[in-house]
Amino acid sequence: MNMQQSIANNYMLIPISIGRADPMKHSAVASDAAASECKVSGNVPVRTRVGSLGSLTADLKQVNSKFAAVRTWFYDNTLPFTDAEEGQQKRGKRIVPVNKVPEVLAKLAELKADAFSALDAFMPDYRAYHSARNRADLGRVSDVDMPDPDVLAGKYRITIGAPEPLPVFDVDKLALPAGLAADIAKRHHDRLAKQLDGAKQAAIEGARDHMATVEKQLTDGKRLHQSLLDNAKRHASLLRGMVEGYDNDPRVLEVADLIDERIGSIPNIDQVKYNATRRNQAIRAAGTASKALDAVAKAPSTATPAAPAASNVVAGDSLLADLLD
Amino acid sequence: MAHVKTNIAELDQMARTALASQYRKPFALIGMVGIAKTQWIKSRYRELYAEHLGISTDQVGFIQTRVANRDAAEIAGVALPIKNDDGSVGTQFTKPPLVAELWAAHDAGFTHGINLIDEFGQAGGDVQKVFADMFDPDERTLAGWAIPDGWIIAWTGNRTADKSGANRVLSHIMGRCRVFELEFDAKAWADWAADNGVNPLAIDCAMAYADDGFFADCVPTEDGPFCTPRSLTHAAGDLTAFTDSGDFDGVTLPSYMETLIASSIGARAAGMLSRHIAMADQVPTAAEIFADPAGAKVPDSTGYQLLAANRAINGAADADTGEAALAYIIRLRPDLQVSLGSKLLRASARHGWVLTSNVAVAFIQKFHDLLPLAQDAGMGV
Repeated sequence: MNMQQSIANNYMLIPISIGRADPMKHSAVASDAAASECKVSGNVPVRTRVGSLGSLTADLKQVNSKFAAVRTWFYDNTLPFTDAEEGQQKRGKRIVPVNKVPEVLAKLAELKADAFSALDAFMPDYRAYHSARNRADLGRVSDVDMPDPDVLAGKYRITIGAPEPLPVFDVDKLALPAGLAADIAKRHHDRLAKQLDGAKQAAIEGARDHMATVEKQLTDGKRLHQSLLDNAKRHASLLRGMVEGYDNDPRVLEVADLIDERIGSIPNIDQVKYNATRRNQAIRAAGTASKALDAVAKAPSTATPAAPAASNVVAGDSLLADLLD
Repeated sequence: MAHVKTNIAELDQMARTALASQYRKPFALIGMVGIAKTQWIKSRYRELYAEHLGISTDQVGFIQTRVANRDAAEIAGVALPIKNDDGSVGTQFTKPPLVAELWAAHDAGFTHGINLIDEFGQAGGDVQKVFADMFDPDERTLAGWAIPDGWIIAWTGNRTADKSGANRVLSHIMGRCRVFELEFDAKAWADWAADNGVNPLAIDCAMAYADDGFFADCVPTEDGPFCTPRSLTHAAGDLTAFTDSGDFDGVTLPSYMETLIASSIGARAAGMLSRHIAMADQVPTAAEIFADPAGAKVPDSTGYQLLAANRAINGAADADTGEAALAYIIRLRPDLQVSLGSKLLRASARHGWVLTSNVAVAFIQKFHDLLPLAQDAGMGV
């Protein structure tokens, strides 16, 4: 088994897709009325949105927040698997250490059940409201329709796909000329290394930013919240989960240990509120961790380009790119 | 609940803040025997208090009170029968001798000072109770007698597991003090030892083998001497007496000297020290490695390579010396490279001067699959 295969065996990808309805709809009628009422000059754009579910719009937003919570938790507890560069969109599949997959799936199932419970509780109210009041609460807004309850319910979905292994190129399975196969393997390897390094970088930067927040909040924050400690533990876990299956970077593992020992081990935020000793120790640990992670984040990447030897076969970039994609 | 653990370096930082706080809670250090708890209070805490006050250290009074072998009545004052003005018999308590001693020092010109209650953990519950009000920052009285305003309190004690007769400290005492469990910091001890004339061979050995169990981290189950900073300091005195004599050939400790040293630090540590002295001149020092990591001598023997690298790792204090240590480590045997490089990289992150050079990155790339083995084998920091 090569290095790429062994690293890939340590992680899985979990695809997830979430659908929900946006109850706020643009209304030209309301926009015109608002522009007129506010005496807005003709060339100033005014765009007004109206709650299409009438007086139950706020209730649907509560349901939406339950659906959003699934993605929020998922993004907080997993890492991106993408070769997007700095500043580019990093949505898409998320990477999870193999040993954490059951835990992540269980939590997602729990959150999914919560979300659909909220929707199921809402829908009877909406069906009754829709049949009794349909549009009546929308006043003169004639260009926004109240959605049919079945259509509305159909827009809600949470699909948690089966965990997938990381894509690994197996040169033996393709009957390609040796040189071309080696080139494809190298490109594939480079891309995987970039994606894994991106995940490590995301874990480091997330932990670094949170440690900076912890240091600042504990130094001069007025209201300390338990999430400071809980998120410290979460970031330490993400760091460890990412690094232990990838490059075993001792520097990052030591920082994860430091966070767990000095911050994550504090069971209750009250202990830092009222105990100057623990607070000072946590501040020092957060400062050290933030500084160390910042240095590692800016240092050269440990993504290992140890790949199959470059081929002497000349092949067009577009052909290789097509094959890879 | 476990005590808050700390080390000498952290104590220095915390003490400054604590001294500036409006609550003058006593500093309390508990920990294994012989790890310089009392010494820190006597010297460093006194210096820091002087620094806080803006006066010189010798202007800060210091009174050390050992309470392990005292009764509560000796501390609180003794009840004496008296005849009242109306002829009835009453009771009067004598002024506690410690209060008298503190005020005498105060009146002699030491308006500020530190009263160290030593071996407090060994005191019985009744004695501990007597001190409760004196430790309370809002009370600061002993048996009802106020102590001088400029005098602050500190106490030391062993853990109950240290087989020194220490008791559990009463919970209401814990709430009135800043109690820390002092963990041994070999580097801080080495700095202190170098400044205080401790034999350099003993210091060098302690630094080289600090992570290999040279110092005892708890009291051994079997009776007999064991190595602590204090006992090593005593053994180093014996060593100096021998090395200064004409009997020392520069390399070998005779068996009677090893036995003499073992009576202070135990046979295992004495053996390590003896072997260390025998090999000392074959191994480059940390300073030599830092000065020329690519050219410093790499001994043939694995043990000597380990010693040289440990010297460098323990001596590294910033990114420059850390990088030099890593550059030296990658010249050693491959198995040592993995374990020692991992140890150094972890230490660098822990101390805030994390190594990020191309050499460090290349090291992680090359050995990424072996690094967990080094950690699992306990060879990390």
